[in-house]
Amino acid sequence: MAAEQTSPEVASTLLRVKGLRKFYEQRRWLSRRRFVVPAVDGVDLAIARGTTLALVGESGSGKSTLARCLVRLEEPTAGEIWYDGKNLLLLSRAELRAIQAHIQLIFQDPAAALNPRLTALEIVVEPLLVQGRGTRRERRERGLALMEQVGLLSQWAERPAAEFSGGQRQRLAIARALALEPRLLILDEALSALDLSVQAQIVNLLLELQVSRGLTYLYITHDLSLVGHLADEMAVMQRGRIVERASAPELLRHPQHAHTRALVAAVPRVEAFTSGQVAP
Amino acid sequence: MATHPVHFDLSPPPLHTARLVCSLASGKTLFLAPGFAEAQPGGGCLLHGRPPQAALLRVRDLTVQLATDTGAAIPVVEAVSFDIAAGEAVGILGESGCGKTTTALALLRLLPPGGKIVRGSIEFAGRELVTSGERELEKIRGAEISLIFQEPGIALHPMRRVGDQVGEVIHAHRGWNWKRCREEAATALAQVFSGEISRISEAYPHQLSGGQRQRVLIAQALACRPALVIADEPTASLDATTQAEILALIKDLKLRLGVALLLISHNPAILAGLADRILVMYSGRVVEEGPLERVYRAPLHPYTKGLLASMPRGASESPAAGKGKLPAISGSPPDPARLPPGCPFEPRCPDRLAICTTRGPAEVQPEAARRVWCFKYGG
Repeated sequence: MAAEQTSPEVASTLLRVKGLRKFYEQRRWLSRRRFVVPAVDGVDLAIARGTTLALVGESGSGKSTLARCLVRLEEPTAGEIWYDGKNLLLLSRAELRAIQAHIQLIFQDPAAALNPRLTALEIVVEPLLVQGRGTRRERRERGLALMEQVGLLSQWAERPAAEFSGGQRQRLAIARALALEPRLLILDEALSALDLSVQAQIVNLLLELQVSRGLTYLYITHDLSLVGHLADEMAVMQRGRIVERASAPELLRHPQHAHTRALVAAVPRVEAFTSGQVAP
Repeated sequence: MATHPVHFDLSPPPLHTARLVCSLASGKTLFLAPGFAEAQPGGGCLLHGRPPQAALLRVRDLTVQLATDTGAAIPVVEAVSFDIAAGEAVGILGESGCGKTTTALALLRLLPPGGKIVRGSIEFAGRELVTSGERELEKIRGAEISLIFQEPGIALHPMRRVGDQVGEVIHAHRGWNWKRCREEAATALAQVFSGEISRISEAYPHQLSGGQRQRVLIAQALACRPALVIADEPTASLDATTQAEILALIKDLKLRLGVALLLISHNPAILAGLADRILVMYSGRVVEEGPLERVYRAPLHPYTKGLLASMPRGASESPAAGKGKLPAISGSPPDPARLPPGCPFEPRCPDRLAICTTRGPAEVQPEAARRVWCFKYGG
């Protein structure tokens, strides 16, 4: 164990998943027969500190179930999740709670993920409140500093979340996720619902935060168009399994697996259409 | 120039009740959708390279306001003018809140409660829709102008077979007996599915995939042979590979049926394969208009430039150029209730001039077939 932790390869790995499985049992209506649905079927993954892994797959491929297993919103059926040298599935509640602060999830739809009645500041400091950190004043100061870091003006602190635009709400969601000083951010389609100009702003913010805070990202998406900008490594998931993984530029340039090739080909491109291929 | 004969053809296939046929010099016949002739009284033909003499849809100075809870009227669409010729595909490009969906809904007079057309005219095939009565509009909606909805999961009735749901549209507009409507529905479905029509006809929406449901909605929109189809983000809720299939289908239908399209999207790449001409909207106004290829290659308005530049590389050139930032437009669009006095893009504009804060720019035509609303080009 000690030897494993000192080896340079393991020391640089923040998260390692081994043979992770999540099966759901289903029963047809009025039938006693049970069906096992393998949502995640033996996944191995590793993410190095300070890097981004893009996990790409279509709906139903199991990528979101995997994310939910990582933050223990779902109980995996089998497998190991090693975070910073500790197996998350074997920890006590208290130990797990401390580590869960390090792993934060950001969802696709910021409008649905934030309580619209809370003010911006209340949303940002809520995790601190839940974890019982700091005094009221300290929390307020920390919240304002976080808002500033993600490009939100401090004079907006008392505005209810419902009054913010989509991009501003996603900034709020990021500020909240940063409140507990996480090391790993799981971005579950966090950019898919955003307008193009907002998407570019949020991508840039995420890249800046990665450099300034040494953050590690797991970027989960079905849309390959942004993968090149954000990711170092890329893994493609299909029917609960990883079918291909490599460095992101390599995979985007030379996809090997048929499913990866289909995904790469499906990205709507501008130049393919403006080169005059439309019939006369 | 010799005029090619245009005549009515009442022969099968059965989906076409009365179809227009354009005879080409090569001796081939080309079937055109109804609406083509009304739009081209002189017999001008797009396929022969002659411009149409009148637009199918002619929108002038369309201005829509939305009443808020407090009673204030917010301008959401401001002085929008454009034409769609028969068989032409026009795209509206813009981000959320720019008024693109409201414009589309205004065309069908389907504005949400509180929404009101306060000014302007919408002329469709010679009829004024702004002053039309509800009965007149009901005849047009779904039959002459149809809409492909965004969420196939919501737009279909969950407890009716999809074949019946397509047949219903035909029944409502044509009033034929049910057997004939179902046959027509099967023909409409055959245009969007490559096989298994009877199985799909009998299926309930939950038995179909998202892409299949979107195909059913497209069949429904085409069932009455409309002259104009409006598609508002038709692929927004679909997976990447399914999205590519649906875009290819719409492109194919456009070429095959010659139906006019109004396509609405926030993504320039989605319009790229489909639209002949685009309108770029910002803050309720059209800021630039022109042939898609020329606008994409050489955008004029600073907003169009910024928007196209912020497209991910994966959607433009090399997807594999490595990690890196995107050129982003700073700031966010103005609150429609508190618009700046001058050009609405001025607070975010990298090319702003002193005059930009004083008044909104007027239309400029810097080159043929292109319009831009920006002081850089005169205004």
